[in-house]
Amino acid sequence: VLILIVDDEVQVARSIERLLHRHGYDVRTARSGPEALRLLDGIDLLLTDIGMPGMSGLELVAEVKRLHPAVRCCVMSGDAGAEGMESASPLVDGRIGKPFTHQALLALVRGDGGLRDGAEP
Amino acid sequence: MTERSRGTETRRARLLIGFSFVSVAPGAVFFALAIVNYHMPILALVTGVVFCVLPFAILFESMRLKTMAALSDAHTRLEAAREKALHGDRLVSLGQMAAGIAHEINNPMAFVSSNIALLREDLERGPLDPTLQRDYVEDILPATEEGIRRIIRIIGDLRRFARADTEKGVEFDFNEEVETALRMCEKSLGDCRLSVRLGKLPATVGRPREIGQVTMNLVVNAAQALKHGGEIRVETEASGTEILLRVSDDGVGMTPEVKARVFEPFFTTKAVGEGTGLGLAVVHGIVRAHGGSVCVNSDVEGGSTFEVRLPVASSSALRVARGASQGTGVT
Repeated sequence: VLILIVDDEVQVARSIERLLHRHGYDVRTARSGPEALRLLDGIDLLLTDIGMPGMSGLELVAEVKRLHPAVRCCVMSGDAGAEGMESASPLVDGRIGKPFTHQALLALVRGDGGLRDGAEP
Repeated sequence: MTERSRGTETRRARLLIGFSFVSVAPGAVFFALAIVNYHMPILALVTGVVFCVLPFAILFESMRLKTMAALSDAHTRLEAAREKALHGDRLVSLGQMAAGIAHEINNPMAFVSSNIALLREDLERGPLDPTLQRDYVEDILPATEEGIRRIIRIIGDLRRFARADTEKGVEFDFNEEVETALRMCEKSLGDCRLSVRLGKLPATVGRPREIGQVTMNLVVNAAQALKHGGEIRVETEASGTEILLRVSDDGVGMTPEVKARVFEPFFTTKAVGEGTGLGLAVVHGIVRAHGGSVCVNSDVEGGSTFEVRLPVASSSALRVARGASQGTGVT
C-alpha cells in the first residue's frame, strides 16, 4: 500500500512516515497541495493536513477525488472540532485530530477506524 | 436618562402643547379688541401679542423637550448596541485565540508524542541497531526536543501577553536595551540592513528585559515583511513626557483588514513555523502593562511603521522598585 502524507509541518509528516514504514507501508511525503498533486501516481491513500497556506487540505482532497476517485482520502487537523473538520465529511474517507495515538493513526490507515478523533484520553 | 424621567418629560411636553392651544384663543380675542377698540390700543396690542406669541414659545419648548427625550433614548439604545457588539467581538477573538492555541500546540505535540511512542515501541522490540540508534540521536530526538521548546516558547509568549510576569520595574537606560536587543536579533535578519538612530533619552522606569523583547519582536516582524532584503529603521526619541520607539520598514505593507487585527493573539499572515501570531500581541501586552501605547501606520504599497510610546515617569501599573535596581539582578 502506497501512502502520500501532506503536511506543511515537515516534522509531522516525517514522524508519520517513520511509523508507517515500521508497519510495512510505502510512504511519500509532500509539504504542500501543489507538490502533492505531482506525486499522486500509484498512491492508494492520501493523508493530508487541512490547514496549509495556499491550497488547503480540503481543496487538495477535492482535486485528488476528481483525478483519482479510487484513492482514499483522509484529513488531519490541529484544531480538531473546528469547522474545517466538520465540513470535511462529504468527500473525505477518514479524519484524525492532532496529536494522535499510533493505534488511532494505524486504524485510520487500515480503514477500520472510520471517522474518528485521534485524541484519546 | 432613566425610563421614569423620560416619561415625565413626555408628559410635560404634552401638557405644554395642550396649554399652548388653549391660550391661542384669548390671544386672538385680545388682538381683535386692539384693532376694534382704539381707546386702549397699546394695552390690547401688548396683551394680544403676548397671548399669541406665548403659545408658540411653549410649543417650541415642548418640541425641544420631546426631541431631547428621543435623543437620549437613541443614545441609550446605541450604547447598548455598542456594548453588545464589543462583547461579541471579544467572544470571536477568544474563540479564534483558542483555535490558534490548539493549532500551534497540537502540531508540535503531534510529532513529539508520535516520536516518543515510536521510541518506546522500538525499545520494546529489543536493543536498537546502530543505524537506528544514530537516527534517534542525530535526527529524531533533536527534532522532538525542538518541538518541546516550541511549545514552551508559545506558553511563555502567552504568559507575557497575559501580563502574568511579575518582574518589578526598575530604572534603566532605554537605548541600551534597544541596542542589546538589536545585537541579539541581528543574525536572524538575513539580507536586511539596520539603520539605527537613537536620540538622547531620560532614564526611564520599567521592565528592561520586556523592552528588549518589544524591540526584538518589532524588528523581526519588520524583517519578515522585507522578504527580499531592505532597510529596517529603528529610532528612539524623547517627546514631552514620553519615550518614542519607532521601527519602520518599506516591505510588504498591510491591508486595512490585517492592520485591524495585527495585535490580536495568534493572528498571522505567515506560513507555519515562520510565525505563531504572538509576536505583536506580546508587544501590545508589554507596552500596555508599561502604561504606554503602540500603533501602526501601514499601507500595502509603502511598508509599515510601528510606534511605541512609553511614559518616562513610572506608571502606577508597574510595581516600581527604584532602589532595588542594583540588587534584583534584573539586567
